Amino acid sequence: MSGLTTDRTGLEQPRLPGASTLLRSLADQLRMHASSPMAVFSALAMPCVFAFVVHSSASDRNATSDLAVGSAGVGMLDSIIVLVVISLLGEKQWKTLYAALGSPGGLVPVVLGRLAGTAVQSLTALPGTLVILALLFGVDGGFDWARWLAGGVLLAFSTASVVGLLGFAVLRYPYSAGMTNGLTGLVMALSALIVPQSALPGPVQKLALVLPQSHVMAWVRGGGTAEVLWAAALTVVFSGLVVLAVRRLENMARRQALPLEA
Amino acid sequence: MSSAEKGLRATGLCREFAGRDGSVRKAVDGVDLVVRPGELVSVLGPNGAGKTTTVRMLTGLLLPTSGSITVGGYDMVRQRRRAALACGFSLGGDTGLYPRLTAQQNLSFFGMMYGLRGDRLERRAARLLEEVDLADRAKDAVGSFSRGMKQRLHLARALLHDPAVLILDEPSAGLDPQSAASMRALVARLTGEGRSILLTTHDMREAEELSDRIVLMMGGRIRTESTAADLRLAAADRLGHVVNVAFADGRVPAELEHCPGILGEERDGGTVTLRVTDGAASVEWILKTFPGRTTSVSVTPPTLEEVFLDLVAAS
Ligand SMILES: Nc1ncnc2c1ncn2[C@@H]1O[C@H](COP(=O)(O)OP(=O)(O)OP(=O)(O)O)[C@@H](O)[C@H]1O
Ligand SMILES: [Mg+2]
Repeated sequence: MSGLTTDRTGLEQPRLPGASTLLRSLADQLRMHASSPMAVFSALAMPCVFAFVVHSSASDRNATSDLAVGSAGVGMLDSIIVLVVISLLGEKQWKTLYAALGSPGGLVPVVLGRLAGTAVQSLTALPGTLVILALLFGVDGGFDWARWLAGGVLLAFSTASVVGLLGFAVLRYPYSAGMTNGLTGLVMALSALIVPQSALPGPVQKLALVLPQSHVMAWVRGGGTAEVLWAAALTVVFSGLVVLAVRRLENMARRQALPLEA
Repeated sequence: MSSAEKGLRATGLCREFAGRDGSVRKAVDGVDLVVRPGELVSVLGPNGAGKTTTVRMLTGLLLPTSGSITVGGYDMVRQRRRAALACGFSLGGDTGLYPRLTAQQNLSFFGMMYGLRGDRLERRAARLLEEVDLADRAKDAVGSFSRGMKQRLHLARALLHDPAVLILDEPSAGLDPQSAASMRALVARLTGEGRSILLTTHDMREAEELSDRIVLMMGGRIRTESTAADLRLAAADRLGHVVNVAFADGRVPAELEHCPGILGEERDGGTVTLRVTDGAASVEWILKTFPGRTTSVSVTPPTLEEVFLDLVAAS
């Protein structure tokens, strides 16, 4: 009987329930989706194919840190898109977002946690790509390990912040497979993951500056600290946009009865 | 703060939905509800009556078009966070839980949404799992659970933060008779703890067994509201009483058809079930007409189901 009875000792005053919900949502994202073969495949196979194509036409035959980060970035981008779609469609299908909608913190901590989880999972692309590149081409003598690691991690989170906006579309509209077609290619080209930004056509170059990944890649290719700051700032801006988008979803659910289910 | 304010209160609750053609349909139309602390109120009503829409507004999932809601003394629209903290709810059904997580993992995730954490959260979750009889399945993925088990886990989830107000939409829908009985027993144990409980149901027996009051909704409005006993008594004037008589010699006398106010009769061996307009008058007539020949005579008002069907048919 005791468990059902009033038990105030079990109830703590919520200190920032949002932060712990977010971390827990991140952890559960990994628990539920980390073994998704689709995501693992896109984080490893895709970038290696790209790296191979780029590398075979290059004169320098060793894997450099910018090639390793850039091609891992392609994998991260692809796996984050796949995981955002899989995970949010899962929430719609299981109708689990209503519990979050009715809770004090609402949808934001849960959805942000899921997105952060996809970023963490996409990190598999980083060592994965490097190992395969090293096996194929050998590692360049001047390989910058620090930039490879820091750039890779920053790339994962900046990519998740940008792709987070896709989350809005997945939750807002009935999902059709066409919704994400071409997205990987588009963001990949805009953020200059494989070719340097200077190689992009003029108008696209400017557009690319809006994406944090472009700045991460510029830094990995030898850019200054300003690029890292730009990347971090833009990641924060995109995360802010994602928060606004999720708030908008909450409002639509409460005001217009937007169904959070498939 | 009066005690009613600490419970659940809705005043003039309305909700409109816009159709695709621009038309506006009123799903809930001026509902007033009070559930005091320690009280259990059941909402009955035919499909589409507006029960779920009402529940979704009371739990903060849907904004009312007009009207106000207070939960645990807090306004659900203007003080949503605090009101949400005072409110536990379950929309029930097969969904609403993470099938790939275990029962325990589900509870600790949902508990965190209400600011619970650490050891206390784990202990609270473990104890609730015990209470809803799922302790031995705590570490199994919820995807493998039966509907009854999921429904019990929903109840545990709603109770995690020990809310002052508990709102359950059809807690026993789709359950087999045994699971439904165990769900009823669970909910019955929750009453009398000072919590305000509101549930919707299509199960008359559940409503009658559990509720302090029954609210009957139709077409988005409250058609009537009372205790089950009073609803049945009040309907007896229209629907008549049921009189059960058992005869000592095992034979039902033919003269019984002259019983005043008789509406119908059903014989089964030495017993007969009569439907009569005035129960007391009929019993008096039977005892006077067949002195010493009856072994038992009882009068009951119409069942809740009969009352429900009658009220629905009348509107
Ligand atoms: N999101 C929505 N958009 C448009 N109409 C809706 C929406 N939700 C409910 N309705 C309408 O509101 C009315 C009441 O529905 P509701 O689900 O509240 O009924 P209910 O009493 O719970 O029925 P049931 O017993 O079948 O569960 C119905 O006419 C329904 O079509
Ligand atoms: Mg309903």
